[in-house]
Amino acid sequence: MWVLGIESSCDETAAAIVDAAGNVRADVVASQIAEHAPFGGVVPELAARAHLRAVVPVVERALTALPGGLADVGGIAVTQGPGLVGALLVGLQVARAIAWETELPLVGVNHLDAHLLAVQLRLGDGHVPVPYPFVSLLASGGHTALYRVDAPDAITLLGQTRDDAAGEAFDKAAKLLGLGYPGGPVVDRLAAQGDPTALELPLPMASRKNLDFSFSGLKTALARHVADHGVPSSERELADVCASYQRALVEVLARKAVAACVQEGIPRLTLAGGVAANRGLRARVKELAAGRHGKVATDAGPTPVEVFVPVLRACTDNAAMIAYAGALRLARGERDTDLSPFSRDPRRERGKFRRDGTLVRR
Amino acid sequence: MSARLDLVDEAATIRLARALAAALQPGDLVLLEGGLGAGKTFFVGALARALGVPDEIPIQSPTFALVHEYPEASPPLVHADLYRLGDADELDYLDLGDALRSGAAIVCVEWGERFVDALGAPALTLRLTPTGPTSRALDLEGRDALIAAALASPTAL
Repeated sequence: MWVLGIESSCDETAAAIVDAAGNVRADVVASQIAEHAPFGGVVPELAARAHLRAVVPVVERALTALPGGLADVGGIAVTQGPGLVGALLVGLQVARAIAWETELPLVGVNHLDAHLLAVQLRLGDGHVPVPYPFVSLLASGGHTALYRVDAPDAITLLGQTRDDAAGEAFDKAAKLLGLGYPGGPVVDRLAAQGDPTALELPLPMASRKNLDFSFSGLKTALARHVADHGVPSSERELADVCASYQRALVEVLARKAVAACVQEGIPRLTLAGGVAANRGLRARVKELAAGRHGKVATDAGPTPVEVFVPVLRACTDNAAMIAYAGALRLARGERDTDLSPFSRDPRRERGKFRRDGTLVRR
Repeated sequence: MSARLDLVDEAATIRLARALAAALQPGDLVLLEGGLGAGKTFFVGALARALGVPDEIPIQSPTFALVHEYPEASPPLVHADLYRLGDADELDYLDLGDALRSGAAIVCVEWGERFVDALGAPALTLRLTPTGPTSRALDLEGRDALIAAALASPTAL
């Protein structure tokens, strides 16, 4: 059964057609469409009115992937939160309207759950499904957290940022250094040519015992360095600063991600969110997973952590993951009649959420 | 009224936030100014704790989401970051005006300087300037009662 997924929680307006096995028939993101003409020029970065302009063309484009269009769709999934309420409402209203008109079943999806399940989408060559349970590091512009995923509907928060998200820390570093937006890719590129030991920066909350993150102090340390020494003038110096900054950020993410696997006794780690594209992070996570800190006690003895990284388009905001998470909910027979947007992840408390939404505290 | 305070460390910032939390009223707009890493979100975090947001709810940077709401605070707290906002029209989608006009919440806004016409007069403006790793110079301007509360706080004495 093909499920139409709609995503409008933040900057991207997206629609996709996916089934509960993770097959992706269509995966459309507004800002990636070459012809901006239907949207009246350049797509602005945010704001509900940008979603308003983009949502119908994006849904129509996704539906062209099915011979019968909407008639071939068996259910609808839409991002319910967390995100900007005004932006979420655009997707929710369109989803409600289509469901009402077609009498198709409708479910709301938690954007963060969808990110965690995106690794199961059948995208890219040689995709292998990840067996449950697994641990996931979700790091993006707006979120940074570690989760234990026992099943699509049994997800536990293990730790999260106390202040800035990792992607935001990259963006703000790029801003301080006079580089472009988004900051992650450009810092990653420059870091590859620099000396990561050139600049001494704090490793914020680097302990493996605590799975919370804090990146605000790292940003402040860089701001102080720039205030004292100015913006690096040579390409070499800039590369060194980027390499040092990225090393500090990546080291903390990688250590805690692998430590979470050891703590939970789960030798499987997935990366999710836009920061999963960072080459430094991928390399360091794999290095630590294969090293002495990456041995997980299992029934089969000490087992190295296996790392799964989805293709980039599954990491960044997209509707395929929304459609997939929704398809799984629909396949379980779940339906939503009352769909209100929420701005903040309701799963802020730590513990395990049962299917009925009740929390088992740890 | 205006004043200048030296916040010698994070503890001083927390003490000041407590003093201001007791004097702020729902419907008050607080503007926070200062560059990246100046401590704007840190101050709002300290204010949120002083208003009763429990420790297990992190006060995360709102740069990406634009607005974070804390109904757990008493009175409720809204924390916005307009850094990524294109123009004042987009403010309508954030419902900040509703929170201010209805007097439902204390509204803290980072990078709000460009939008003062649309936001209305702030009850308090805080400008943070780093003077060391954890020390800050703080310029305050706003309602007399708020400045008086800041000047009477242990941080200022």
